[in-house]
This record gives sequence, C-alpha cells and structure tokens, in this order.
Amino acid sequence: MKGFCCYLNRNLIVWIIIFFVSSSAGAERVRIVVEGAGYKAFPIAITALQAGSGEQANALAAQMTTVARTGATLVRALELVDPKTYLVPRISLDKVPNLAPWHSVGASGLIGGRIDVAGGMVHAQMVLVDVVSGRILINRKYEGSVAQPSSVVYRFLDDVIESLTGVRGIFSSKIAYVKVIGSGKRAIFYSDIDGSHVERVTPTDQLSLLPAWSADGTSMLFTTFMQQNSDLARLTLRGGSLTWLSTKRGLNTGAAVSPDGKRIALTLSADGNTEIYVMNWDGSDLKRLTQSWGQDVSPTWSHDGKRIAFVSSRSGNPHIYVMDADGGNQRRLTFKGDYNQEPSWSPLPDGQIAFTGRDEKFKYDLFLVDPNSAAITRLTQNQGSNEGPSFSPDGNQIAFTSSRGLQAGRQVYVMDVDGKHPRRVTMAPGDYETPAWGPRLGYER
Amino acid sequence: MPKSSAIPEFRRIVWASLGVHVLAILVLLGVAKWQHHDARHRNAIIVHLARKGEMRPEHLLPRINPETVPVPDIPTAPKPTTPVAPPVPTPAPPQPAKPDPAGKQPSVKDRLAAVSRVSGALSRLEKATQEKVEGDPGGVDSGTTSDVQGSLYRSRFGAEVHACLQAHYQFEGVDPTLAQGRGLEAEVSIRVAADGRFEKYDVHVARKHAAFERAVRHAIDACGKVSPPPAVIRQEMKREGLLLLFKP
Repeated sequence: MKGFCCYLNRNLIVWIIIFFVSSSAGAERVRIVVEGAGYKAFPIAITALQAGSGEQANALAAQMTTVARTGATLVRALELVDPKTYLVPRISLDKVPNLAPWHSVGASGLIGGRIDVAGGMVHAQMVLVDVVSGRILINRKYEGSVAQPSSVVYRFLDDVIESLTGVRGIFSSKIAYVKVIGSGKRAIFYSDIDGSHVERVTPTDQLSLLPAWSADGTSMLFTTFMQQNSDLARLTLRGGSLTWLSTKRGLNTGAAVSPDGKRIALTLSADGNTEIYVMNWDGSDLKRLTQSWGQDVSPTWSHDGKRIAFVSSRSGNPHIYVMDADGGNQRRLTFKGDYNQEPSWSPLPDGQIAFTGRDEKFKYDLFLVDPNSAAITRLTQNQGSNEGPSFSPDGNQIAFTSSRGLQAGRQVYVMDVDGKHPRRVTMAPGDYETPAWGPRLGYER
Repeated sequence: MPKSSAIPEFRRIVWASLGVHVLAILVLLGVAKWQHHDARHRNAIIVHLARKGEMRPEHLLPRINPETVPVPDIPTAPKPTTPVAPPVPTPAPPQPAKPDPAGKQPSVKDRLAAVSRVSGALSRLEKATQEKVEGDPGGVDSGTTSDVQGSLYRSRFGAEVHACLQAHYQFEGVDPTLAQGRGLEAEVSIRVAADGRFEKYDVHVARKHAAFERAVRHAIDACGKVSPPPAVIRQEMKREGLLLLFKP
C-alpha cells in the first residue's frame, strides 16, 4: 500500500510537471522527467562455442560452453536465457549477427566464440554483442592452459560484466572456509566461487580457524593452535611462507584486514578480557581500541576503512556495535534479538552489515543491519541453521554456512544480497565453518 | 327510522373502507421496505481480510513473511528465462466492441450516466477552448485558446510517453540505488514521428556511467513507439520533439 502510494505520488508529480511545463511554456518543448529505475539481471544468451580442428578442440568447446552457461547463473548481474529457446545455435564472429532471433528470446546480450588448441594452450576468440544497440562490445582473444579452460571462460565473463555494468566481475575471487577434519581438528581450504579447484591452505591437521584474506588475495591470516596457544599467523599462498603475527598470552584471533591492506584489526585477551586492537600489516604499532567489561570480538572494516563494526556483550548479551577506526564514537547498532554475532561489512559505499542472529526460537539466521538507520532486514528463515556471513567483493552476494537439507554438518552456500538464489558451493560431505570471500585476483596465479 | 339507521350504516362502511385502505397502505409499505432491505443485501460487500494477531514485540528480530521465504536451492541448475515476445510492429486495427460474453449488460441508467460523463467532459473541453481568455491586464499576452487545447494534448501525450519509458527503465545487472545521489543525469532530445515512432534521439550525459547509459538507451529503444501524437501537436513532435531528463 505504501509502495502504491509512493508510485501514485510520483506519477502525480510527473503529471503536474508535464502539465504545467507544457501549458505555461506554450511554444517550449515538453519536458519529461523519468527517474526511479528498476533492477533486473542482465539477460544474456550464450551460444555453443565453435571448435577449430581436432577432437580436443571439439571437447573443449563443449566444456567451455557449459562452464560459461553455468557461470552466468553464479553471479547476480547475469541471467542466462534458457538455451532451449534459442532459434539459432551459433553465431558468426566475423560480423554482427542477425539480432532479431535474439530479441525474440528476450536476450539483451549475446555471447559467441571459437576455440582452438595449439601447444597445450587453449586459444579462445570471444565475442559479446549488445542485442539492443547492435554494437559489438567485446571481440577479444584469450589464452590459457588446456588443463584449466574454466579460467579462460571466467576471465571473459569478468570482462563481460565489466563491459555491461562498469564494475568488474568476481569470477577471479576465491572463497576460503574451515573444514572439520576430525575431533578437535580443523583445516582451512579455499575454492573457486563455483566450488571447484579446492586447495588446502593450512599444512597441519591441528586446529586452524577464522580465515581472513589479505587485501591483494596473495596471503591468508588465520588463528591456529600449532604452538598450543591461540595464535595469529599469516601464510603466503604461493610458496607457503608462514609468519607469526601475534602470539601473546591468551587469545590472538579474529583478524580482519583493512581495505587498503595496511592494518589488521584483531581480538586479543592479553589484558584478561577480550578487546579489539589494531596493528600494522607487519604486526607493529599495536593499539587497543575497546575497553569494556564485556567481551569485544569479531571486528570488520567499513568499505573506506574509517569505521569498524564488532560484537560486544557489554550490554549483557552479544550485539553489533560500530566505532571509528581509532576507537572513538562507540555505539550499539542492534537492539533486537539477544544473540547477534559474526558481522561482515559490505564493501560498497553505504553498504550494510550482515550478521548472524539468534531468534526467539533459538534458530541462527542471517540478517542485514543498516549502519545509519539501524534498520534490520532478515535474509534467511526456516532453512536450517545459517551462520557466518561474508560479502563478495562486489557486495552483491553473501557466502555463509547452512545446515539446510542436511542430517548433520553444514555446507558453504552463496546467495544474493537480498536472500534470493541460494546455491551450494561445497559439494563434498563434511562440516564447514566461517567462510571468507576473498578479493578479486589476477589470473596469473 | 330508516333515515336514522342509514347513518350508522354509512359510518360503518366509511370506517371499513378506511381500515381496508390503511391496511393496504401498511402492506404496501411493508413490501416496499422488504424490497429495499433485500436490494441492500444483494449489493456486493468487499472486505479486506486481515490476519488477526498480536504485534511482534519490538525487542525481537524481524521475521520474513512466509510467502516471501526463498525456496530451498537447487545447486547448479541454470535459471531459465521466459522468452519475451517480439514487439508488435504496428498496432492492430480497431475492432468493433464485442458484447460482454458473460451476458451482463449495463443498465440503461448506467449507460445514461456514462453518456452524461462523456458529454460533460466534452462540453467542458469545448468551453475551455472557446471561451474568452480572462486574466490580469498587466500579464503577458501569450495564452490563446489553441494553446490551452495544445497543452492538454501535450500533457496527455507526455504522460503516455512517460508511462512507456518508466515501464522499460531498468538497470541491468547493477543495483540502481548504487547510482543514486551521484548527480547522474541524462538529457535526451527525441523526435516523434506521426505514427508515434521515436525517430531520432541524442543522449547527453554529464558523467559517464555504463549501466545508467544502457538503461536510458534501453528504455527508449524498448519503448520504441507510442500512440500517434494528436493532430494539434503532431508537427511540433516531429520538428522539435520531446525533452527527456533521466535520473537513476
């Protein structure tokens, strides 16, 4: 009703503007104001990629077509036009194709390509056509290893999203998570956003927790009990070089790297009570930010690095708080619920904070809170236990763990920031915890 | 004696006649009241059913309306898209009005009321276009009767164009709220052909924003055509056209 009223008011205003401008101006041109655009995913048709000579090229073309079509379903920005509706299976790469059949199936964009194989490398000529304007937006050559043709496709899809939206895609990013591998044993892994190419990070089976990416995605911070204490370590992903960042008595945990990559917020209990601290990337210049009788944990940075959200039990129950990056202006943000934890701040300007909340039925679900208005939006409900949110680098999606549909354990899932289109990332059975979505990476790694 | 007995007989007849008439009137009133009562109950009563319950306590976390809870996921199935029918190139010729298949004919009273409304509107329009212009003697001498008529048509035509553009104005792949508050504006000068087609347009943007420009161009291209402009403003639409101002 409220939306209808707003719609009515807006249209009424437009009517009034049109009438007065047209009636008073006489000979002046009619001026129409159009605002309040809607949102929809970009409808894209992906034709079967053509193959050069040879069996391997045929197989790769088919495989890469499937990867591209699946890839279009993994991101919020794109919507795959059902290939069953295509009136033309392939398009010519030499000229702008006849766009009428693509208009008729509702596509705004059209993808085609040709795959060749030479010297153990896949060579792809990929094309993106704007169906509405008839312009060729991308006509580019890509190369990659035959062993990983998906990286070629994902690089192209990142270009597609950047070309269409002005914001680079997230196919190069990785999702890290903790996997329970035995009693008291947890290891950290990461994978592509589609769940493939799983890599193990921590070398031992000893307890390792709470992964956090460096700003450039080349190393990972985590809490580990390798030295029989809860210490904070950093591991470079290429080469596996381990650095101990904080090994103070008690807890050294919950690291969060600032957006500029220069500072680390973390939780220490060296002074007897868990408090939030910040230090430089190399572990120097440690400063305490909070000082309360309650537990202060789980810091997360705002997009500009000027504020930090965290969890505090200073009011009796754990709730989400925000403060300036120097510890000033601490204020409570959530007043609903009695157990709010695991905040993750969106990387977008004016972005919201996702958190795990326990409702009155003692179910853990995901929520968003606006850091300015403190308005809370619920994202999950009646689908098992949902915890540990982590924003994608474009702020459009959230990774989390969920027990939905499972007899035991939790799996890593991803959903749109409005709670829609949930999909499972980890496919291997097991119990997973605390996903951390990394930054966009280069493709050379 | 006969005379004296005739008077009471006459009175009895008068009283009996009066009684019968009163009874008849009462019966008629009763029937009329019963009919009125019945007719009132034959009217449709539209009620809005609201779920009765207590307000959710302020201190609890919000819940999602059960109808809007997302369906549990299907891991890797692609999202199918419903194909959109191609735009119809030309409007179908007007068809004669068909009788209502449900067989429910409007009453004579309803038809008279409709005719009265239409004729009233027409007479008001005619009056507006023909009456002498009155105003402040010190005001500007720019208004004419034809301008009044033209402005009415401009207003109506502009509203149709606005509705068509608004319906197709969508950011594809980018949340439009992210583009708001950044001073993004696109000024579009567009000419409209006699058949309502958007003939030629130029887009001027102060700041580049790929998704915004796409949304503007897509709204114009997807709308493509509106009703033919009224004869009064047809030349004006073809020669000068419309000025559109898009904001995210």
